[in-house]
Amino acid sequence: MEKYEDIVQALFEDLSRFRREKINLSERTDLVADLGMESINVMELLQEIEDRYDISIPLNIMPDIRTVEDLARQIQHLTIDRA
Amino acid sequence: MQPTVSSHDLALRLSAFATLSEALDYAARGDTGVNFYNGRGELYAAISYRDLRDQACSLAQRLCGLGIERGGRIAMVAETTPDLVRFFWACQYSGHVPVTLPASVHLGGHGAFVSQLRGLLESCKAEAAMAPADLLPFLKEAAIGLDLRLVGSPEAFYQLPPANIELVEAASHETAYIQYTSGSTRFPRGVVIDHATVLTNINDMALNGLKLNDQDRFATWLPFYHDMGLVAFVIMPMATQRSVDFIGTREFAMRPRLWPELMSRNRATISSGPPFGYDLVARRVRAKDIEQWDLSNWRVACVGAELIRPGPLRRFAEAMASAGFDPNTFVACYGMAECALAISFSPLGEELVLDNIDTEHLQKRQEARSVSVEQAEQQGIRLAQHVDCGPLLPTFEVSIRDDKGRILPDRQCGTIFLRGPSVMSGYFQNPEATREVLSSDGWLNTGDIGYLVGGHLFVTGRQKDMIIIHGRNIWPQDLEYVAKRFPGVRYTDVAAFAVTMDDDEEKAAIVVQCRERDPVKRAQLVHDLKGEIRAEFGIDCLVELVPPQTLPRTSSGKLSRSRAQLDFLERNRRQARPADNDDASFSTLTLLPKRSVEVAHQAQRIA
Repeated sequence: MEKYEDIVQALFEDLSRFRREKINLSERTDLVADLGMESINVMELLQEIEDRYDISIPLNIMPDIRTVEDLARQIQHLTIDRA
Repeated sequence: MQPTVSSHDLALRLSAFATLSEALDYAARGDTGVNFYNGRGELYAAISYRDLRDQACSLAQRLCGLGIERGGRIAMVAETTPDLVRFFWACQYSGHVPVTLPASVHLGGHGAFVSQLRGLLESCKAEAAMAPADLLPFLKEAAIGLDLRLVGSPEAFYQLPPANIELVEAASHETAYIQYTSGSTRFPRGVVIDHATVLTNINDMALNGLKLNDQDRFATWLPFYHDMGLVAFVIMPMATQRSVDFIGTREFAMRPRLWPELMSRNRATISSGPPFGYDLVARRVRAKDIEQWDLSNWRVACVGAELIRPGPLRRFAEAMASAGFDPNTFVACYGMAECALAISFSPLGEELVLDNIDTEHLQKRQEARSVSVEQAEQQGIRLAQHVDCGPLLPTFEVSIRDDKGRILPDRQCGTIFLRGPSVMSGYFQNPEATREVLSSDGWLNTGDIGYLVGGHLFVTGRQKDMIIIHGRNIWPQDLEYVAKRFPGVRYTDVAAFAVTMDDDEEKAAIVVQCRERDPVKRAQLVHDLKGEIRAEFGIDCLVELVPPQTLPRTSSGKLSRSRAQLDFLERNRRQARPADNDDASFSTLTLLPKRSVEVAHQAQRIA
């Protein structure tokens, strides 16, 4: 199982490449409303996450992910299943 | 597991099928079929048309057992799965009408997805609905309080008891499917297509557009809820006894290399996509991937679903040249769900032809005058480039008309009207919307603007307000509706439309009349509105706040989106970097009109 803090840290690094304006990232940052991620960027991000953790992100969890924390928790959960 | 073969002993038959089930009965005598690949590029299902026919007939018996009358609608969330294909064909044998629902799942978009599904279930008055198990909770939530006989996973339907009746063959004038032209929750329009209509179009495409042969093989990532995905890659391969390879749309968006990899793997010959799909591949593939591919068998790469921009295609062709991709493989297509699918194809195996048009002349005379690039440079003429979408398929009659309905000669720009056996009978239970586009003598107003040159069609823009992003149709009314939900924003305060950015991408823009003066609150409104639009539609948009009374209205008091668009461009072009704008993303952009020719056209009409 991956450590939650490590996942969040890695997400911050990923996300800094997608944001257009300077925003202080936190676990509460809303991926869509605050970062302006379009669906096509989201797909690229998910691909990187899947490859990094060797997981497969199910489609049905996406509609209920809003924040960095939501996403990190889901990733952590998926890495438990992996092991 | 092995994919189904590309060629077999069964004689290629492209025509003379009266119904889709008759076409599948014939295909079932051969060895070709459908193949599904996962996100790792591995084959996980290969189903011959023979087996597919058996599975469809078995499921048809179970659907009949539900007691839904003939012609009743069965809605299905159209993920790219073997189940979806089984359900679609089962309906053809059971006499029910399949309606494919979008699987548009976005981050944070739970509420939007559910209300979209609900809107479509209500619009088509579905009697039963299916979703893959993982999306079923959303469908169930959408169906609460609606009177459906069954809302379930594919498994739930497979476990129903069979009716054990003799299946009644469809008549060619019966409805084969209903296709929604956009996922609009506010303005759903379900195109009703019968067997004869879709088979005529497929026959026309196969014989004249694609010139299909008995070695052809299809491959796609297009979604099954889109007309191009459904008609060109689910129905056409079956009706022409060809094998087809599928990868999911989401899998493609995550790993664009899966598309050329799929083309290479089984030596597929026919595929298509909107320009943005080719662009995604060009931007994301790596050289070491390309080395391993052989794309020399790819003979038709259709480009359509949004206005064709040559840039992405050039980049794709350059990137793929070393894998044997021939740039003359690109075929420009024009089509729409209202005509089943295709209307015109540019000639096979030839370079795409670009027409350079003098935009100012067009504005004054409505005439598309061709000018060479050199001449334009010497004389300082502003040019717009349009792609030759080829001659119309032979079953279509076409006319280009002005505002008064007068038929225009070659090179005169106007609204494209079509007539022929591939035109829909109308929008489902929506006579008003049908009357708006379909005349009593069978002419369809496409809502698109273009011109003809020697029988070849050039599409320059849209008259209707539809916004098209990444090949997806979005109604401005739906975007406006989101803005109107904000406190303090009144019903008449909003206009949404498309603009073209300097990178040639189409983008949605929303103008909101705002009484708030506090800059912090204004910035908050812009931020929140952009966030809501992203959650609901998965797209980025520009938001401009303007004082009350800014938005233009027609004499009857209706909002004029085309004039709002012109005003918006005027305001934001004057200052290259508007400092006082509440939306920070403006500062990095150069704005261009949505297709220069169309704006010129509209300017002329207003004058």
